[in-house]
Amino acid sequence: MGPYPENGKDLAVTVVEFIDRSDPGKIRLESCPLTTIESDLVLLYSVASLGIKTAPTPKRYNPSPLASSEAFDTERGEIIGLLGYNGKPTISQLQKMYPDTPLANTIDACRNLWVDRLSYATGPAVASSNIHSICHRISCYNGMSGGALVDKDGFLIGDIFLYHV
Amino acid sequence: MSVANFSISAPFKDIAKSVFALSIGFEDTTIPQDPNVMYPPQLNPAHGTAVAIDDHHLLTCAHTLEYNSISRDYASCNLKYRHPQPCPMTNFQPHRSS
Repeated sequence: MGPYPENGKDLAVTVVEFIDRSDPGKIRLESCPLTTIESDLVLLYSVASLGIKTAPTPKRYNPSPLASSEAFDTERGEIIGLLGYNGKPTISQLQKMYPDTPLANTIDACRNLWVDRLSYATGPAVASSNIHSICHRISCYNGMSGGALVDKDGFLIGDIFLYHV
Repeated sequence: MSVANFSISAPFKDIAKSVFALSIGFEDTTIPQDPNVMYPPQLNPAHGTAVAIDDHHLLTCAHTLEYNSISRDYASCNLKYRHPQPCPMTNFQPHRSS
């Protein structure tokens, strides 16, 4: 594994379509406010085979409705998993994002996310005020967006996006 | 609180094979295409994860493809996507990327 994309190992993909039907040939600029959950999905296409023999099996997930504003902090649902690639942080980014935390602690926390490796982490789903979203308490970092949320049996649940809480 | 494991348990092995690292490269069309020209760090690739749904198609978050011109402090009117190029400033080593 090298530090850069390698011919023969890395695959080029193109955008087929955004769920909000925006122009796939045009670069997307981060919108303000942030992209909504309902429009945060895109289909990509690879000319080369991805080597997938068995596609993930989707399964509907029914999150618990949020009973009260306090419930978000206190209620815990079933344990779910998140598969994806945490990117490597930079020191300057970390300092900006966690200015009140000792840098050594923040670096240790990022190491525990298994950056730059396919990582699998579990945590509880929590109650959500949005019936279209799955809120969870699984630590992750930049690069995990798009990772697969799975239930305990390995089914792909709901959507696959990861959204900031 | 998350729990990271060294290996993936049985129910997740199949889906793990469908999870790909994603790198999104940006090109400024006003900068000459020269492999010896160092791109500014503001054009470093963005990164995400994509999940294959068949042998040629993947799904990911649309926001992974977005360019944040504010936080990157870079005029974005002449940008387009490109295959990520070797860039010593990048802080990510993709296993499998686009």
